Amino acid sequence: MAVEQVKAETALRPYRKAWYHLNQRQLTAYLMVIPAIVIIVAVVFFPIGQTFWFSLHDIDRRIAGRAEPFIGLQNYFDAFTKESAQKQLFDSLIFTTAFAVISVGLEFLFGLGVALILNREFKGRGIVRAIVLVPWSLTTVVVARMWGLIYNSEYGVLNEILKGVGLIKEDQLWIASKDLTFWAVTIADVWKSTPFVALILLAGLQTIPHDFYEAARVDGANLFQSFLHITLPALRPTILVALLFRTIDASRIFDLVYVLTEGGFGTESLNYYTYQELFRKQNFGFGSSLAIITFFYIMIFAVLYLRVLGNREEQKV
Amino acid sequence: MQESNDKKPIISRRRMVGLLGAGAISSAVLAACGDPTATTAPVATTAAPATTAAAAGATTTAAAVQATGKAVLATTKGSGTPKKLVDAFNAKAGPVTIDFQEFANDSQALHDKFVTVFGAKDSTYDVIAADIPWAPEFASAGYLLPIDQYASADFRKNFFEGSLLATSYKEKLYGVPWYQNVGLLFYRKDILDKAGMQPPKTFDEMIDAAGKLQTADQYGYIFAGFKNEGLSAMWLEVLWGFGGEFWDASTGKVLVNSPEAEASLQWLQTAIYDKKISPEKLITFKGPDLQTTFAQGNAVFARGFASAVGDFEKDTSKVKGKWGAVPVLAASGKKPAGTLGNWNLSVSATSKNPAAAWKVIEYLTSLDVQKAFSLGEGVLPSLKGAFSDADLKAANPALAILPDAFATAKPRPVTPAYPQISTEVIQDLVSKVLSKQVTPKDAVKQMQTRTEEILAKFK
Repeated sequence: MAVEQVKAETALRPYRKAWYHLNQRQLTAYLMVIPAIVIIVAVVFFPIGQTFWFSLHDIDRRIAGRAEPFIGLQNYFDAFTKESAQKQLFDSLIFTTAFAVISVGLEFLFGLGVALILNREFKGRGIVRAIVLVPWSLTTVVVARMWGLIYNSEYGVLNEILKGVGLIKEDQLWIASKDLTFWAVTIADVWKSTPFVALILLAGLQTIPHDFYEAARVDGANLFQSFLHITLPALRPTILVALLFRTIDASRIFDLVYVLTEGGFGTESLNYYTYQELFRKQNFGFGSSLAIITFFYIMIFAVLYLRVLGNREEQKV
Repeated sequence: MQESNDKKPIISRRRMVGLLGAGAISSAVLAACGDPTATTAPVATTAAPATTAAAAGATTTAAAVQATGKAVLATTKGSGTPKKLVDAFNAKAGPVTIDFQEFANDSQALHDKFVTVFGAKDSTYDVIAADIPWAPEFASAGYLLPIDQYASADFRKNFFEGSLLATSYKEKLYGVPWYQNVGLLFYRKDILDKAGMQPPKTFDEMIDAAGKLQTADQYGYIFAGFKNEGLSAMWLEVLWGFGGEFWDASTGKVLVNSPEAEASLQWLQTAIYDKKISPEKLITFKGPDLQTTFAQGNAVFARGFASAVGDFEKDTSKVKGKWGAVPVLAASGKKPAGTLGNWNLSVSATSKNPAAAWKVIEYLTSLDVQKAFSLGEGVLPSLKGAFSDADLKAANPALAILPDAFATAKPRPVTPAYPQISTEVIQDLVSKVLSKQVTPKDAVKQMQTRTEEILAKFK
């Protein structure tokens, strides 16, 4: 049996080519992509590799002439086990995860609603579509500053509105409260990023043929049923793309907390913590290990999504 | 052999400086190529004799530094005045020219830029504008050149003692103040005059005065209580005002676990929760919020930075011409001390032309330039002599009291660990005291142990 197999393989061999036997076309193709590959390696893989290399050393640049010994994975052990560092890491992991899950969840719900409305025919649809995109087009720092004014405890409009409708009696301290600051950051992000989700979902909605809905109507399906059985399944790949982009983006949150809360009141994100270590403390070794941890943390999200998306593709085939 | 010996004395000064410069570069390159642990420190030491030689070779007075060539100045752009001053300098067509590199008005971004550039031992910049806490941080990291051989005793006399203390690290000078800022107590002159009162000097007087004068829509006493660098600067003033010290700079001993420090935190809590002269919402106040609140006429007293004057004197300000300023508060029998918020000029350790860099610093700290800069940017000069200038006095009503405030002002702890101490220790615990999550007694205890842990690395 085994011998036969070997024979069969040997028989096949003349038809296979060794990898380096490229024909003219293939050679040209590879030559064409080499510059791109070199650039990607230089600007993506090299910095990642260097960061990893730094993370294996004890580097504190605040002290000139200090030895920078190789310490293996000690920075990683410290991050997860050293008392003060561990608390900071876990707090930032919890904040980042809670923020990513809740903000992306809300953005998806609102975004889907907006997309469904914008997908209908109505007068002035083009203008409304453009207006909806405004929050997304603003720089995050500007958004943070703007929401800072809205949340302001002294002359902010949010407290005024809430007091006006009788929801609160006292001014709330939106950017300096253990309970509210998380929501202050989340709301600002939802406001900014919902249009992005809506835009992607809208593009997905427009690829669904009208025939499906007509057929459903003929079969006597109501609106909810056709949404559940036609819109959602047809939209699924688009939803996954939107969620993937947004989750990766949300788990990298930095500028919003940097400007709005300066990492205070339980809003220190993983990236903000890393930044503090790297630039405030010039602690390049430990800071790099945090950067690598962030890298893997985001990878988990990406792999999870790609798994789901990938399986879907296989099922189709 | 003989020939070359003959030729030596004829080398022009310009050429000599060039050669010495090349020497400095090659040693910089060597340092960069050599042991990475050596970092930039050796460059600094090799550059020093080079310039001394240049000075000795000069035929003019020994103190004057001869310089030619280009110096790169890196700073935030402000509202355009630095560029104008540089253009004026270059227009004079002197032996030194400035290559002006401006950055956005974001001090943290500039800090991170310098950390990146100097961390990579890049030699692009010769002169940098640096926020006050960066002096010890960059000096310790070996990013800056000690400028003791340039800054003569006469030159140093032009500046306030505390301001130079802020740029001194391990008994060497690493920067010259360019423009200054200091904590002040602002008050509503119209309200106090009407009540026939003088601005309070002590913490107790403040409790009385603010309690008496505050109304339903006018806070008694406000300060910036948001958890950021401004909070550290504010609290250090209260600490000093109670006669406490954060640490002893000469021995490195942490002194914050003291009755004075406890009293300073207790006073802040008392002001908010017992006497209610300050609102609880102060913990959301960043610097600009504080200034707006006072400018809108919603507070009788406000502890802010001197730079706030611009906001109060704007046409949209409701307190224009109705406010006054005095040095910050102190306990009775103690001396008040404001926190310095200066920007300094430093020479980078990698500079290929430190002599030219020093010329740039001399120019930017000369009287006329200081005046033009202060008027153009609405900042305060670093030169003592500029405070008696009539034009500057007209532009800033608080100028008269400022020499007093600067004479007693102190820098925040001058240590490379300060940014870490500020974020992880001071801001964290003062913020917790303000929202009553920790008692003043526990707070100072924790400050002591945590600061000692951080400083252990820097012994």
